[in-house]
Amino acid sequence: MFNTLLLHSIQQLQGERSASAILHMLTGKKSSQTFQDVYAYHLSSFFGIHRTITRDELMFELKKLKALQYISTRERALQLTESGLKELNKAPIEHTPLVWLNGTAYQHMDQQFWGRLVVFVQTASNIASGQHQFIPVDDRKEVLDWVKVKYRHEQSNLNEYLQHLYSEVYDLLKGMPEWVAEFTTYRLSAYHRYGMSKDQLAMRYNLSVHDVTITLQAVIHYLLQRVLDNQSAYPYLFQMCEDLQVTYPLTHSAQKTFEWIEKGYTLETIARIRKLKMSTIQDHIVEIALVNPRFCIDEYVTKEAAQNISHTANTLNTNRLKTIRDELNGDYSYFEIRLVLAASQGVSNHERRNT
Amino acid sequence: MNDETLDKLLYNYFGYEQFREGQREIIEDLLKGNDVLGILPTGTGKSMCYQLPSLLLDGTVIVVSPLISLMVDQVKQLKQQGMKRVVAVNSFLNPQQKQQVYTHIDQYKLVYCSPEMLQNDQFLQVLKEKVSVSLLVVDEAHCISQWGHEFRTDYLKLDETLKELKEPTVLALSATAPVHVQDDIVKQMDRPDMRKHIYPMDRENIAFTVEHVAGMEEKIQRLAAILNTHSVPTMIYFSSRQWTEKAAYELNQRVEGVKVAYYHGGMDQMDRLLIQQQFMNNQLDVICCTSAFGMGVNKGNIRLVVHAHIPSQVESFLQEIGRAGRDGFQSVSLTLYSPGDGEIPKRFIETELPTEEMVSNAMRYLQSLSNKGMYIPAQTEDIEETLQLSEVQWRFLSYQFEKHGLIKGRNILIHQGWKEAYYSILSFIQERTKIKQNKLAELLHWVHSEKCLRSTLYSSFQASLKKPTGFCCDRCDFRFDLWTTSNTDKRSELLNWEEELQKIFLQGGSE
Repeated sequence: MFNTLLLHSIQQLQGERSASAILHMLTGKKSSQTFQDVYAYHLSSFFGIHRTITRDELMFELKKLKALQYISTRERALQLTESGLKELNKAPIEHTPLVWLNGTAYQHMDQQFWGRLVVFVQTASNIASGQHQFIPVDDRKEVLDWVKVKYRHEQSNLNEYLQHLYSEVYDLLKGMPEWVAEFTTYRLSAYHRYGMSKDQLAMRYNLSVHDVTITLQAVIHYLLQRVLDNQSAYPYLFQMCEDLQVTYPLTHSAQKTFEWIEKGYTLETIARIRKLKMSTIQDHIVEIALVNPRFCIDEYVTKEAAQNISHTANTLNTNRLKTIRDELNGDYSYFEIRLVLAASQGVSNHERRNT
Repeated sequence: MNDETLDKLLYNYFGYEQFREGQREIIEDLLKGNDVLGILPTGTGKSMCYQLPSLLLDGTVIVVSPLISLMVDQVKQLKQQGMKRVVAVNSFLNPQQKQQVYTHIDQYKLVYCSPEMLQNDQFLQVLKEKVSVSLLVVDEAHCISQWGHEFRTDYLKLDETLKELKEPTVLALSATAPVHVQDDIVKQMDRPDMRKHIYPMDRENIAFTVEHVAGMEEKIQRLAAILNTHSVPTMIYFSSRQWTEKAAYELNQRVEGVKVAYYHGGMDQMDRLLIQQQFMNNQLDVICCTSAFGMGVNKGNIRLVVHAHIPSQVESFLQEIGRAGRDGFQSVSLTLYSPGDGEIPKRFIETELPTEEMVSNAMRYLQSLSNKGMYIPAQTEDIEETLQLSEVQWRFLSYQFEKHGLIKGRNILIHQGWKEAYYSILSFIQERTKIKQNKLAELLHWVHSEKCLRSTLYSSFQASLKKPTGFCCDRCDFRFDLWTTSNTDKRSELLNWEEELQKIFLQGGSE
């Protein structure tokens, strides 16, 4: 499954990016280059879905694909071969749980939500069956603190709470393919057993450990998407992620810049006040244009420039900034080109998601 | 404090009916304000010696431990037992978390920290201003002695720290320290009146056996055969992560009805926790692991500890087999040795400390920094990268440079003494390496010994031995076919997912 994801990504990148672009996508690197790439190449759903993978691990997987002659490299850029394409068509993303992934929307909250769910279930299951000694399987302080408060709140009618939570979780798992429902159930820890490790799941379902990681991530995104879209149908699960939502998934610094812009400040002033380089502020603007479809770029690029840039990008069918700039005889800055591309990618992305 | 009160506290807080050997004597000495050196074998509850006093003493108990994972495990266990006023301060905390701990430091009774943390000015300042330290515990105290099997330069500054903290009572603890190391601990801590509580470390319910085989494949075959006849809770030590994975896979294939998993430091935090708890919870029978596993593993019924690779010294070996049979029942230590197995720990010893070239490179680097009027970089990772040193190597060197007056903090002090310092450091490295090589030779000698394995193993630590409760060793009376074990209980198989989910959430009325 991880292979499918890699082949799919390489196809999307159109031979214009190196392995680093994939690494940054998977680990969710917070740089404007990565943001722009994942939108430009329609890979935003995979942003930050495997945050612990190392460069060495990724290179090892890519080397295997190369040995199978599914991919090749030209000047470090990755390309899909004929047989790679065939392989991808045999098992496209749409036939796997990976289709549930939505990285840009959920990567900032998925691990928190899952940690809360897992530890709360473990806690409630243990205590309700009279067992007070157990080791929480997720030991992040933020998670434990949340569970502690929640538990204290629900303590008095724990059984009723468990019953409601059960029917919500059951309902959602029931909507998944049988094996994924089972996979997810066995990952949970309860009073009678600790859940399976990734390696144990990999062995049982004949997957690689990377497959397990991204499948689990896809499950979490599936749950989040269903719960957030149908809050009234899943009130108990909604409580576990309600406070984790943000309006737009922006980096903290870009969010600050956005707030200044909304107050009406110019980019120069913001750069001065925040003691940041102008290029950093410009990165923020591009980031905002990507995720916020209502953000108007007219203030930073003329209508005419925008038209010329879009037209050129479409004719040449590329997202390479330099190619576009050269074609337009260097009339426009990289910032203008990036911004125009971002706005169109952001909006198109938005429209697609609503249909 | 009378006996009854201590017993009551022990039961109320920790749930134990009675003290284990040595605990009461040490605790009583500490409560009288005496400094104590405690040598207690692994698995006999060393930590109780300060956990219980922390409830009785005014002020704060500081526990210095070099093993962060052990520290974290202990804090977790204490919290699980209901002791909430305990915290671990180490480099894993982020700045906000650290700040939070510092702000509330006076609310903790028991503060675990790494030796590096005690050298941190801010942390020391917080301790000095906000709390009064009643007891300073030095865990793994052998690390203070360069004659010990492990040596941590940070430990050498503990005597200064004690003065800064207004001379609290000291408890130095170790599981394995021969007499000359014990003397060195007392000397380095500068507490000549320390009361010594030394307990013998031989385990009368563990039998020893060493088998010589041709290579790894034969080891796996042998393991499969033993586990087929003796399906008991087992730990198998390997020297590398790859081998733990490979062996776990092979054994799962070859042994019917036994659940095997691997554990090593390269796994993510949650998976390490899951595997460790599954083993404690008897969901797993066999763990193939590196030395990373075992800290804080408090499982009573481990029957068999196998060394598929030997460690680099008898002390580590004793610590690892010490996890077997804590419940007192007959257990076995099996070592599988094949020709050339000594090479792995030998290489490890050779690369642990810096080479001659590394020392001279580092000194040249410092001199060139100084010539340019620069300081030593604040990020030690940068230095390690530039000089191609491991973390341990740089820590070792910077301590040596400081000791010889070549550097102070991030300042470089240029003077005449550099050449002498160079030769002195080199000879010290040679000496340390020599000690380690001798330790390895001692273990290899044991592996090939034709005499009683039990008496050979413990001979350098103690003069007499307890009488074994069951088998002694394969040179005397042990053979696997003579060892009868009760097979592990049949565990309930996993249900289909819908029933399993009901069980997790206690639904369906069957519970």
